[in-house]
Amino acid sequence: MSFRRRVERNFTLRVTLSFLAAVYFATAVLLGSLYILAVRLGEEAVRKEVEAETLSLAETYESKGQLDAIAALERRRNIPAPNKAFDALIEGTRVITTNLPSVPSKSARWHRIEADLYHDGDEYDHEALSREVRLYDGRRLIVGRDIETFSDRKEWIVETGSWATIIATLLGLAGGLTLSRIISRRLARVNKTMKAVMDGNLGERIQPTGSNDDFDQLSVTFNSMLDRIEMLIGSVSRVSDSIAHELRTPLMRLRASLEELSESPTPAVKAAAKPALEEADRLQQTFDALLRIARIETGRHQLSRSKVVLNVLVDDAVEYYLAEAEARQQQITVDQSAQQLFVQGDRDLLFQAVANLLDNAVKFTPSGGQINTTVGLMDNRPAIVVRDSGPGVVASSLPRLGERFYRAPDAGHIAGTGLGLALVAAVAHAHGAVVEFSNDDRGFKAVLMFATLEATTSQKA
Amino acid sequence: MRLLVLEDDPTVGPYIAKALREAGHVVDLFSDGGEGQQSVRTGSYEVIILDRMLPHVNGLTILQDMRAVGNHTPVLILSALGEIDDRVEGLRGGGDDYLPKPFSITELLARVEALGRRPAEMTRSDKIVVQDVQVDLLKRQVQRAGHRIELTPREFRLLEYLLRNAGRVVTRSMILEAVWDYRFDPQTNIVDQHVSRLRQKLAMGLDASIIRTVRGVGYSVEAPYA
Repeated sequence: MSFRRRVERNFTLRVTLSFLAAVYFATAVLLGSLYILAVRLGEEAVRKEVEAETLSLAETYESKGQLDAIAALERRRNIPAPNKAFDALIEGTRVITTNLPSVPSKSARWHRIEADLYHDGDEYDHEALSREVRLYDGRRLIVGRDIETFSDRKEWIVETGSWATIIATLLGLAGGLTLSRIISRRLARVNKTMKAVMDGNLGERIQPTGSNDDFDQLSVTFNSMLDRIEMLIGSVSRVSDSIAHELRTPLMRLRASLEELSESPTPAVKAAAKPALEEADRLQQTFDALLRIARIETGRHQLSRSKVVLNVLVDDAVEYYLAEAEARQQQITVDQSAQQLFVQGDRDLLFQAVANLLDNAVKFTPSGGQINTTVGLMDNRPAIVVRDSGPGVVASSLPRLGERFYRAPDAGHIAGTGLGLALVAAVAHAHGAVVEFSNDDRGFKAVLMFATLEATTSQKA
Repeated sequence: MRLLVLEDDPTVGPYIAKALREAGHVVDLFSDGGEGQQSVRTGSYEVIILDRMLPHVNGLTILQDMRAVGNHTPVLILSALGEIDDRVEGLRGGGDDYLPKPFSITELLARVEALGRRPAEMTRSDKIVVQDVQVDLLKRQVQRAGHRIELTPREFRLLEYLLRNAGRVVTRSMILEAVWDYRFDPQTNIVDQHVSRLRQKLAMGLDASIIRTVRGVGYSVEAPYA
């Protein structure tokens, strides 16, 4: 995953980085202001003073002559001032007078000259911000004042700024991480509860921390939503249990009466009772399948999970359909992976799902056709594939095959409730698996693919 | 057999009782849980047919009570809930068989017969002989007229189940429950195909088959010679 996408995905990282950016910005504004106030403005003032002094000294030289000018320069040197005065009068390479340790050889309008002086063995750092003018006789006059204070301040600001940046980074990271840790830990609690609820533990609730903060309020809202969901599912359960009871009982009576009629001595009555009984059976089948799907989908059917060996399960299912396929002159083959594939699941439901896929294949494959079942890994996920050489399904119908009562338009002549594949889809969903239907070059193909690979190490005996 | 039917439905109860009587059984019918509990305590029956939901005293309660006092009379549970979990619950509660409503009366009759004769299961021996078919249950081998017949393990189990219930009718769903280890709802009833394959293998080109089809009900094998 690219860094950018990680940042977009990861809330905690984003919070930390935003936090850090804010701290940097604040530090930069603070130091920038300090620099302008303490360095730039001070230097500007010195620059103006030096400019004025230079012009006035140049005028003295030009109107009163060299001696007066040198006297003025020396006088200026000795006037105590916060910014020590520097100067130089140069003719070509000859220095006429100066108090600078070195003079710039090249001409420029402004100079920053290192002017470190020694007194009694101590070194005093100075930096002279100096203005140069060319006098009428070609000599150069350099007049400057010490700005070491500002250079010191500048250095101090840079140094402080570096430290501030380091401290801000540490604080920002610590603050951001702490904040996001707190947030994600509390989100994780919500998440954990939600997952438990989705896994069917409808009674799970989020424990509020008691601080009554935003997160607690979110938890309370979630909890009341869960209460509502639990209540609704509860009422659905009760309704479908009562549907079961309220429909099975009259169906039983209907069946009892029809059976009695089918034993009638009157041939006409007997003949009429038979198709009626068959219809009652179909009704019951549809309704059994429907209730079963509902039970699995609402999580009311307690899955009895155990380690199920898919290879064995598929072998058994194929064996169950083998006799029927042979009676229809179809060939069923099984391709097993070399290794045993396990999933955690409800073996009865999984068998039912595979049986429904095979049932479908057997029903829709013409006489003399082929049905091929594969157990193996697809993208490292255990998968069961059932292919047949039947006519396949119109592409537009494929996505709807898992729906209840959906029957492909060309399936009308084959008996069925329209619930077989819906049950497969429900069982798949309950096991965290997916079922996909497609047409391949030979016919119809159903793939039941599980999410996790539990253990595939043991070689098949 | 002496049978007790505890069923509160005014149509279904009498219908079951009538059919069982026609099949030659002696039947007591009660529709109230309390009365039912009383009759379970005092009467002596070979099979009890018990509806799960009864007024006043629940069917499962009656079952648990009788098992608690050491009454081991076989019990067939009838239930209008008919889900897999209900079945498991009923069998765990001490039921011997379970039949979801609606059921056909022939199914009920076959299951009651099977339950009633259960303790007297005659095929304790290792070898069963029916006509000229010899089945060795230990070696898992089948011979007919001296020739060995190769059966798949499933076919052998099917044959064994039919033989163990020789002399009475077994229904397709009874076969499915007994021979396949999965509780599932077969979309198409394929048990017939398995029986017919088994029959073909056993026939060896001869006409006589030891497996008889009972129209609309299931199959039966005639009782073996000793």
